[in-house]
Order: sequence, then structure tokens, then C-alpha cells
Amino acid sequence: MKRFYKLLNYEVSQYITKVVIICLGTIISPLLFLNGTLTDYSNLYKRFETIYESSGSIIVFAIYFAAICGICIHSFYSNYSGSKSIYTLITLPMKREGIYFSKLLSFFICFLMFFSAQLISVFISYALVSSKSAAWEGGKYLMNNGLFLAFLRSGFLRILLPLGLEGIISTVSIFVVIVCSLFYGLLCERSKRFWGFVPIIAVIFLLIRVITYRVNQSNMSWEYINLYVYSIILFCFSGLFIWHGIKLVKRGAIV
Amino acid sequence: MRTVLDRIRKRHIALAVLVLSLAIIVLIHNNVRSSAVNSTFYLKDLYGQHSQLNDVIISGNIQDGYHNNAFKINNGIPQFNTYYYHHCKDMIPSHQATQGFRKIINNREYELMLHFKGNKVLANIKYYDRNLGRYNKTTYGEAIIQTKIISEKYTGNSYTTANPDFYVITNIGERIFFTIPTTEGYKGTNGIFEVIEFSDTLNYLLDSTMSQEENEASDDKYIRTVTEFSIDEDNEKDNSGIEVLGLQGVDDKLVLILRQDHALVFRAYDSTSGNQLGEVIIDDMRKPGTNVNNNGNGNDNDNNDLYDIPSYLERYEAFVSDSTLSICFRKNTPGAVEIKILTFEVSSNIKLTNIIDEVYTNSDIERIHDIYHKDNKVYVMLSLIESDEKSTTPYYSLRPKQMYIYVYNNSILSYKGELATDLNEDDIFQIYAPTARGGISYNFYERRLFENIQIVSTQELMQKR
Repeated sequence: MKRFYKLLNYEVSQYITKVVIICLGTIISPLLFLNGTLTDYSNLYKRFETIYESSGSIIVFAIYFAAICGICIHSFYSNYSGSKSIYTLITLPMKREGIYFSKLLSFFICFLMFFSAQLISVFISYALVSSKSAAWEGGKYLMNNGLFLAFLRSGFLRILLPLGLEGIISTVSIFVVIVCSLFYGLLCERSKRFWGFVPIIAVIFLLIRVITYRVNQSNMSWEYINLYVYSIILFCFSGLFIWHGIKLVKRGAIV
Repeated sequence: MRTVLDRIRKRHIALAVLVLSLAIIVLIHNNVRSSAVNSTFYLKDLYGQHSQLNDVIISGNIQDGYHNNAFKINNGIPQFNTYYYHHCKDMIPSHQATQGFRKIINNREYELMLHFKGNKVLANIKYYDRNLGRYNKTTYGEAIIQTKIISEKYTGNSYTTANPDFYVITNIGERIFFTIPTTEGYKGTNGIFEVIEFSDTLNYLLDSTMSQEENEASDDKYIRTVTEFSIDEDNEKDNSGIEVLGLQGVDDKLVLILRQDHALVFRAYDSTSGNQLGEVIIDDMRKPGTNVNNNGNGNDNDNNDLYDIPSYLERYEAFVSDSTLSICFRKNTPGAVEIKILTFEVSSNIKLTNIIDEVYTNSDIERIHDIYHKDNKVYVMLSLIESDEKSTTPYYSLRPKQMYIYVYNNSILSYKGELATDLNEDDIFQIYAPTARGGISYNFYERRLFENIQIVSTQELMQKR
């Protein structure tokens, strides 16, 4: 356990600076874009979620999300280049599961940091928009409890921070399966088991379906997806990826 | 201090970052979730004390496509709980889409069509079960009866009735009743009918009844006649013909709403035996429009008298609670909104308990949500919408609305309160938007609306428990 903890700290400390920089970017850059949008006062009557979406903050989020994935991928491949530390890792006097989980958990921590930074960013963005709105024409465009409503009504924010249980479970399952798939994909690539990408593609298909369904909740549609069922399926995939990932690490196939 | 931080940075960075991130996520989640209570929701007393509301519990919902604030006003204190929606099917069906157009009973949509076979009138009742389930299949059923009504004016597909079929189809539990909304141009005997069984063969019944020979016994497997009543004019009593405005099920009784001359007639019937239990006649509720005396013996004097009698629109709003029936009629006056609320007790008899006349000068009625009465106290919950002249927006649906609670004691106003909410703020994004060509899109997903408001007496609620 102690070794696992040490290894985990080592993994995290490898990339922490980069992640912190990206988190700062996540917090600050939407403010710049929002400020740009708000210099046009004719946008102020719109709801916060509309301003937030139209300012391009979601694209910014996507870019930083890709950057975080990049950091994870880079930290994984760095074991194979230069000093080839993967051999050291494999020969560490500890269980192979420990090696697997230390990497996976470090990925999780990385994504959690990004996720919390994004939430802080939304909070600050709302403060910015609402203060501008309050100062304009006696605040006649200001909505009471606007942030709460934005988290309900915006497809993006609703997936980011759902308030109802069904949504929370769905978002957690999406988060978990993204991180597990990413790591599993890397393991499959390293161990040349390319058929492993088939379930990953299936997961991507399911993710697109769930996410578009949740974004389009506002459109009157008779299509019905039980989010609990989809969450269970996604968790099962995550379980499968972890199980097979451990197997690959144990066999040393990843070297 | 420095060494401690260094230690954390070197040895516990993973744990520290993990805990910090999780803490931020949980804190923000809690913060947002708990801000649900920050929605404006309180009762503003405008007249009288809100202790007048102590005998009733008002419950209802404020929903948009994403959440529902289910509220209760108990002892005059409003409270609400927030529920989150994840699918459009979680929503409480919107009343606005159906009011006055489609009659929906237990999720089934009913419609009544008249067909004419010579001068005979066939009543064809249909239902569509649009409760689209897994297979997206609409189920369907129909029943038909040849009535004893004689059509003098209409023979084809275009015919006139006193009211849309929304008003004449009613239910008592699972049982479906209807009557024919006859008006001028119909003679003979109308009735109250109960559907025993619906046939699911599309249009078969209609075709077979239409092609049936004149003297052939009609099949009464599907519809039974509960009672019959004449709609002819009565020359001896100098009465004009009877118009049928509606039928309403109350408890296990049926109340028929008729108009004869300048009076509204409310007749109660037992739903099983069809026996008439009683009748209430309200005078001075004329039909709108220039109504020259039907008997042809009207003269100028009569007509002048006629204009002194206020006229009321045929469409009304009815609210039933156990054995009480409350009906609201709107006066036909341009420029002002005047209503007349009549409340009845329907048991072994029908008894008029309250008459309330109310005028709204500055605003239009957007919707009457519920009327409840117990003995001599009447509770009204309605929303008013800013009237045309004062309006800042050209769109009716974007005008500010207010929700009011009225309590009448012995037909005199004893309390008026406003239920303050944030609902109007949901329209800001459209009110101030540059004027759109071809109107605006009204999406009830994007705005909070009141749905399903019910006023129940505290006593009855306790008894039921």
C-alpha cells in the first residue's frame, strides 16, 4: 500500500505543473471570451447560459479537455521514451495491480482537477455576467437565481453538474468511462491488442447517444433513454476495461 | 511551515490534489443545489388577513422542462420542494395545450362528432389513447348512437353546436358520459348517454349505422341512454328552445348545464338511474349577440329590455371537488373582464350555494386555476395578465402575469393575496430581443408555468388520511 501511495505521488508530481497551468487557463480564458461578448450590450438581455454558450466558452472547454487528455497520454508514453522507465516500473517490488491503479488513479486526479477548475470558471463567469447585467439599466435584465437555472437549462452545464440523482449517476458514469477508456486504449496500443479498440468505439457510440440525449432534453422528443440503464452499461464497460487492463499489465504485455 | 508544505508537495501531492478537487466539486454542487430555495415564492397580502386560508391547503407545481417546484400553502405559509426532470415524460402534462380544445380523461383524448342521416342526428364518440409507449402506437375506440334529436338546419358535415365537445364529455371514475351540445336548429329529444363499450374497429360502426335501414333496431351494445329531455320550445309557457352548454360529472351525479331564454338551468341527475334530482335556474344570463325573440312575437320594447340583461359567453370553466361544483362564466363585455362564479352542492339534490360577481379592470384573466368552495366560503386561484393597452410587448404570451388568491365569505371578498414568483423573468430573453419576423417561438420548456393547482379543505384531507 505504501509503495502504491509513493508511486501514485510520483505519477502525479510528474505532470502536476502542466495540469495546474491548464486549470488556470480553464478558469481565466472563458472570462476573456465572455468579456468580449459583453462589450456588446445588446447581448445582456440574454440568459446567462445563452451568453456563456455563445461566447465560445464550450469550445474553450473542449480544447482544454483535449489538452488534459494529451497530458495523460504524454505521461504514459514518457515511460517508453528516453530512460525507458517502463522496465523500472514493471520490476518494482510491488503487485502489478498497484502499478495499474497508480496510473489510472493519477489519470482520475488529473481529470478531477480539470473538472473542478471548470466549475470554478462557471462560477466566476456568472459573477462577471450578473454584475454587468445588474449595472445595466437598473438590472432589468437580471434574473433571480440565474446560476441555478443555468445549471438546469443549459445542456452543457446540466451534463457538467447535474442536480438530480439520475443525472448525477449518468455524469459520474460518463466521467469514469472516459478515463478508463483512455487508459485502456493506451494499454491496448502498447500491447498491440488492437481489437481492444472495438469496445472503445462502442463506448464512444454510447457516449454520443447519452450526451446528445441529455443536451437535447429541451427539444420535445418522444425518444426515451433510461439514464440509469445507460449508466450501468457504461460502468460495466469501465469494469471490463479495468479487468482486462490489469490482465495486460500483469502479463507484462505492455512492455 | 515551509517544511510542512514541502513535505506535502513531495510526498502527499496526489492525496492533497485529490481531496482539494473533490472538495471543490462537492462544495459547488451543494451550493448550486441548495440555491434552489432562493426562488422567489411568498404570499403578499393585498386585502385582508391570510388567516382566511387556514381552512384549506393549496397545492400545485411550478415547472419548466427541467425542474418542478411542487408547492403547498398550508395555513397561509407557502413552501416548496424542488424535483429535477431528466426526460420530457417527467413533466406534468401542460394544461395550456388542451384547455377548451381536447377533452382528456385518464390520458385518453375524446371527441364527439355528429353525423346526419336525413334529419336524424347520430352521435359518434371516439377516443385516442396517445399515451405513446414503447411502440409509438395510438390505440383507438369509438361508439355510436342514433339520437332522437331532429336536425332542422344541418345535414352535412358542417354543423353548429352550442359549445365544443370539450364541454359535453365527462366522466365519473372510469365511466364516460356525454350529451349533445344542441343549439338553435335542433329539435326533439336530447339525452345523457353513457358509453358501455368502445369498438376498436375503425369507422365500422359509423358505416354500418349509416347504411342501416330506417326501421332496423339500432344496436345499443355500445351506448346506453341515461336519461332523455326535450329541447323543444314550449308554446304554452312561452319558452324558447333549450340549448345544451355542457355536462359535468360531480361525485356520482351528473349536472347538465342548459340555457333557456335568458336563464341558465342546472339540472342534476343520478348517473345510474337517470332520475332528475333537482334543478337550479339562474336568471339574467342572456345569450350573447342580438337575440331577437325566438317566438317571433318580439317587439322593440322587448329588445330594449333584452339589452339590460347581461349576456354571458357559452364557454365556462368548471371545477369539481367531491360533491361540490364551481362554475365560472365570463360576461360578454368588450374592454372589461367580468366573471360570475356559481357554486353548487350536489347530493340528493342540487343546491346553489354562492354567486360571486367580479370585475377585473386593469388586466385580463390568463387562466383560472382552481375554484373551491366549502359552505359559504369560496376560494379562487387565478392568474391575471397585463391588459392590452398597458402592454410593453406586442406578444400576448410575453405579457407579465400575476398569480392571485381570492377568498370570498358569503360572496363578499374577504382576502386577496398575490403569490409572488420569478415566473415573469423567464420571458426577459424574448421581451428585449430584437423583434423577430413572423412572431416568437413559445417554448414551454424554457419558462416556468403553474400546473395542476388544487385547493382542498384541511378537514377533508385529514379525513381521507
